Amino acid sequence: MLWLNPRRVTIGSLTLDHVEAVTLDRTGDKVIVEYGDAGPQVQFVDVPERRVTFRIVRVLVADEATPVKPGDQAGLSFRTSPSASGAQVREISATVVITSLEHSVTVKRGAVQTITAIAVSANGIADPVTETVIGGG
Amino acid sequence: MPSSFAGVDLFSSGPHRMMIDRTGRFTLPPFTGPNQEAFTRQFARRDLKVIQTGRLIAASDAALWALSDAIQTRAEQPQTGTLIDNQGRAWTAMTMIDYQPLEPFSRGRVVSLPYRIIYIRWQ
Repeated sequence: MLWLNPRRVTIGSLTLDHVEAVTLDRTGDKVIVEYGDAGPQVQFVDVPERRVTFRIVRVLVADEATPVKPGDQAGLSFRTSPSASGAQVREISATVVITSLEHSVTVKRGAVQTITAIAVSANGIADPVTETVIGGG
Repeated sequence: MPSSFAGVDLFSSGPHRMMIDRTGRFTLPPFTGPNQEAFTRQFARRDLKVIQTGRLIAASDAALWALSDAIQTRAEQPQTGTLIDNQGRAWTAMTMIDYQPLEPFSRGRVVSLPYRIIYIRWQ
């Protein structure tokens, strides 16, 4: 999933400004693929170990010592809507653990910071990502 | 045609395969151990072994334990019967002597457990 220019992006008590995009990738860490003896085709597939990874891409416009580091656990949340109005505003939230904080500096784009985090499920069963409708419309 | 052992369908919850293990006779190469002769010594015929690998699949932990327990019970007795694979190949007088789950339960869309079973036909 991709959200462009999300609003109110926060990690714990830290508010992140100039966020260009937040992406959410769902991948299978363990994929079971089983064949039988009837023929060449796969007979069973399951994904018993799954990972939700967030990437927050933002532009830095001034010197900054972002106070998050790999291993930190905090609540990530941001708001998104199809237009600048308050209609159909949705808040995406999850408990995440930061896995990397990286920067690149180029003439074309300036300084870009990428924060990568893996979402944590409360009980190992529930989806770690919550989407809540905030605005009407 | 689903596979079966001793007339019971134990494995159709998930895909599985059967193969025979090494066959032939036990031998001792020349000039090894007590065999100091210049030729290979042969001994008894190897027991016929069939190795089955597969995955049990169920909708819940309880249902998967039931499938697993049914196999474990037969391995512990041990039970002897005719083993038939999915293609209809039959091995008579096979005894289930070893049942080994190969991983912890995997809980995804369903609950599943990979396993290995060894059957032997006693001489």
